[in-house]
Amino acid sequence: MNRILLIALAFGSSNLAVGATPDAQEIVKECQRRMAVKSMRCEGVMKITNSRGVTREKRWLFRRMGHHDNSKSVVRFTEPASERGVSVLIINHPDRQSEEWLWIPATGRERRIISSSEMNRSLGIDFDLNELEEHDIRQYDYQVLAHLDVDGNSCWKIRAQAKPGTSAVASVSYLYIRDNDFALTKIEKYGARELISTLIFRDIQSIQGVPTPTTVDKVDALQHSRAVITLTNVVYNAAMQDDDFTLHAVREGR
Amino acid sequence: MIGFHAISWPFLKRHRLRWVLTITGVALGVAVLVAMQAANSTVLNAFRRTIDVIGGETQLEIFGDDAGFSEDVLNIVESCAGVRVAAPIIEQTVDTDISGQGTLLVLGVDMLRDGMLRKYDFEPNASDIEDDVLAFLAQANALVITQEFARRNHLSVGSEVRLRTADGPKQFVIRGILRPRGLARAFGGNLAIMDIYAAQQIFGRGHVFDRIDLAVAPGTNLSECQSRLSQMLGPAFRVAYPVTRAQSFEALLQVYSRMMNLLSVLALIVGVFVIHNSFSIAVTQRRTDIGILRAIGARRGEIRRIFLVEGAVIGIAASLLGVGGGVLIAQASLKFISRLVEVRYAVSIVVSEITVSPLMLASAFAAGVLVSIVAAALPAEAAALTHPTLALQRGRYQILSTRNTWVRNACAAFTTITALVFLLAGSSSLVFYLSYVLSIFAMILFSPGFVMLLTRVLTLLVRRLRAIEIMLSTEGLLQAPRRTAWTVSALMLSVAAVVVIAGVSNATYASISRWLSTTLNPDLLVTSSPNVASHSFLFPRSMESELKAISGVDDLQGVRTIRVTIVGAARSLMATNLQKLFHRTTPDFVAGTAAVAQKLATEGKGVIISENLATLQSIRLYEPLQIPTPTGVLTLPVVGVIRDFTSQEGSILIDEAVFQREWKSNEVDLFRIYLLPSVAPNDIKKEILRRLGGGRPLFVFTNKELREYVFHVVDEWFDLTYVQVIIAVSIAILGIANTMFVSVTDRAREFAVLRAIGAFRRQIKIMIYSEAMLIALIAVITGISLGAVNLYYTLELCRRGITGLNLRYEFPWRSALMLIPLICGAGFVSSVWPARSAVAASLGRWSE
Repeated sequence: MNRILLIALAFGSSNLAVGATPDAQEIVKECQRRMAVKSMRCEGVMKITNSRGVTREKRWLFRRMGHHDNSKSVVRFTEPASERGVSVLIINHPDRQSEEWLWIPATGRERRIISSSEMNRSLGIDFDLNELEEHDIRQYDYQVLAHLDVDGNSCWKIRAQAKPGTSAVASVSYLYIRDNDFALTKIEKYGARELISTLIFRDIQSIQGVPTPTTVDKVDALQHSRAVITLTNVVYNAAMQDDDFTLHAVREGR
Repeated sequence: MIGFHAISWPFLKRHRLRWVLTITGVALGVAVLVAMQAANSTVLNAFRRTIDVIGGETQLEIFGDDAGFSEDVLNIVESCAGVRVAAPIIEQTVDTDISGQGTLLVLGVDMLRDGMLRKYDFEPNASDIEDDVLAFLAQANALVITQEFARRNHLSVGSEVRLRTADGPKQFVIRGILRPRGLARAFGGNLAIMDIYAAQQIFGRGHVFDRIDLAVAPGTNLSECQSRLSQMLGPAFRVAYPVTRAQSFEALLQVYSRMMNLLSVLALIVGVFVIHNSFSIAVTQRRTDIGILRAIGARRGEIRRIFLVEGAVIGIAASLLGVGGGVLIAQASLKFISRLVEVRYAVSIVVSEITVSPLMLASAFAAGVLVSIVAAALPAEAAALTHPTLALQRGRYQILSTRNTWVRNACAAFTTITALVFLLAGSSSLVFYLSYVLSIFAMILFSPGFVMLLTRVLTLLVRRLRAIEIMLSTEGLLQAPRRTAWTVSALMLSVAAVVVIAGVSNATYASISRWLSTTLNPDLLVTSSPNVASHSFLFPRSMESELKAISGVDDLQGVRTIRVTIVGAARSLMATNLQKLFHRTTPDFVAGTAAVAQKLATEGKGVIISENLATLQSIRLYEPLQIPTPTGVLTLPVVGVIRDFTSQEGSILIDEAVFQREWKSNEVDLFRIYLLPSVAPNDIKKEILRRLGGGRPLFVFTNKELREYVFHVVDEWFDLTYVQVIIAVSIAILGIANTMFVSVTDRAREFAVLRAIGAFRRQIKIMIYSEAMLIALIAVITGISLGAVNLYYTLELCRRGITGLNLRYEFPWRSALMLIPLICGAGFVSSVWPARSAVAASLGRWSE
């Protein structure tokens, strides 16, 4: 979850001069820099509509300390009632694979999650979190394709091509980044040929100076499903303790 | 074909009833063969299919012992290079509270990982698990069932179902329904899926997994990955291809299958005798036709062909009936066999329909036709060799050639001597088997001579009784030895089989009874499963003091049983405090001295193994045995061999101190409890269940219940064999009926004369009844004699090649004596109809 929010929320203000010949990698770097915060806390609502048109809703509390590859996050579900207390703990390490744990109060057991697809299945969301993470600038070659208008916002359209040898699932992604505040507004992901998914970041508000999309809309072209996440009560840089991001804390419901 | 139309068809039409009986005899033989083969292959296929569909894309499986292994093993497996996905599993067979639905195989899976190995094809609109696994994981009582199970029990998503858990019956909520494909086809639809951690909790399995299924990353060499994993996990784990599980099960079923197949073949052989008898009589009765045909120029080959074609026609008709009947019998016996396998091997298999391969059906059909042709071959040859002038002479046909008798007896004597020489001189199994087969042949060759001899003896006896009807019957038998000999042979083989089965059964019961009294003698047995063969739940060692605190408990021993691979197969290894065990028991040592073996084993300087393991694997005393343990390979010498019936594959007994040291585990799966003399076992049983029963699977057996349970398992084992033997006896009885119809036809003139000179109908009937009963009596006497010899061979055969157990020879006198009135009675019943038809015919027709 922190990774969605990382991508969705970590793009911030730019120190690049608008109008100059832009360097694609610098634009993406600036996006990330503007979204870098010490901590984040929010409440989330997710509505998922599957291919059969069935919609379900989940609510959670989210806390994150640190950012990007050096962060710890906890997602604690509050609704539906049957899932209340279920928590996910994610600890990202800069130098090794992240640790991800799922805590189920009904069995009093936590389980280690080893892959992003497991994470997606466990959270019940169809965001491909791993692919999002791969928009780490180290894994892609970037190229500005155009400067165009998207929903009334002037944006750079940037092509992100996965570097050979990386673990990226999508071979090509197109990023749409606003030129006025370097906020990411849309990502289109392609597989070998076909469109895999589209992520649209809406209702971008400046919260504590951080451009924050309070609605994220994903359309999965393969699964024919749609997920809409709405964030409320977003607070940045609140004081948080390392001890709150441990399995022990998760078990205790902290 | 002209010959068939001219000779065969009119004869077949004229003797319709007799041919119906002959066809029925062979059809029954084929049916038993098909039924046993089909039932066996169905059970095996069901097991294979269950493994296949449960396995999904599994490329390797990792097993520990019966009680499972620590969850930490999963981390080791996942860290192995080349492993793409590793999914842990626990399997639990659970009783449903639904009447008639039996057990449900509950697979505890980690749905997050498992989705990458197995396809979960949920019913549309009946589940949201596919999209939202969390909803499933978050509820410990969430269950996924199959569409088949849901349909049978009118369940849908949201319905509740009661299952027996470690804490007693509990309600589970259906959260998903699997469509009848892939995984849902396993276990006949009696399959349920739940979260592995919830299953651990609910079934009291602690933090263990039973198995880890894994798939490797593309491009990874599977056998290299297997070697890497074996090295990482150590010898206490088996890293195997999924197919090996089916192979192990097949090997486990081998004893049972061999026994069933042997008895199926017996039924077919008895059928051969029946058909041979029918053809011998048919040839004799058509001697005039044969003579005429030969006189007008028919060649020997043509005569031979007529009878062989008849044999083929009978064989085809009988085989068609037999194949169809066999499939029906297999269908009817499936439930019984499934249950037998579950009780005996702790392997749950649910089969709803039989799976028979066309090849198997074709083979059974071909076997039926072939044996019919083979059975008809000798009479056909006799018909072909008949000289036309002899064939046309009246009254010569019933005389058994003196030369033939001499040759047959000489062959029988030679066969007997050869069998004896092989038995006494040969140590190899092949020579022993040859001796066995030759002994049967000898008895068959001797049977016409026995018939004559016994008939003469009986004639002398009945003369003293002055029973004229019986005297006439014995005369009839003496005049037609060919008519009687094969019928006697058929019944003799069946009776011998009954004697053998009774003898093996008696010996088994006696040995098991001795074993129960000397070794399995605790007053109470506390286990974690209703089926003593399963050891999937462990009790903590601390339970020992809790049990000991119960007033009335004198002493107890904790036992841990695991399965270890020794000499190529999984064997039972039992660890307990040997000093305590030997204080309470007196095992029957068949090799090694009890005092030395007990001392060395108690000190951890050796192991004691079961007789069947020692025999089947040729393990000698003081031979070192290599036992894989989590800490390496433990090598200990065999210091004693005891008679033990715990495991079909053999068992190893070691001291618990050695086990705790090498396996790093001090838990147990069974407690043997000895009570103070004044205490009632049932009271203590109730107290144990009251104090310790909650929260874990716990079953307490009194010694009486244990004995009943063990004998029940043995009973079920023998029940099926008896059914087969009864069918063989029935076929032979059909043979008597057939023979009696022939006798009535052949002796029509004699009956007519008797009636003409004033014999009553009742007297004619008595003649026929007594002839049938005499045939039965002769067959029983020869059958019991053959059975006495065969029993020795069979017990030795079991010891050498099947069970490895040395069962004591005890002739089943009671069963043998019971057979005399039983078979004679059956002989009487089989003659009722022929007798009725004999007296119903008019004097005029008789005298034709």
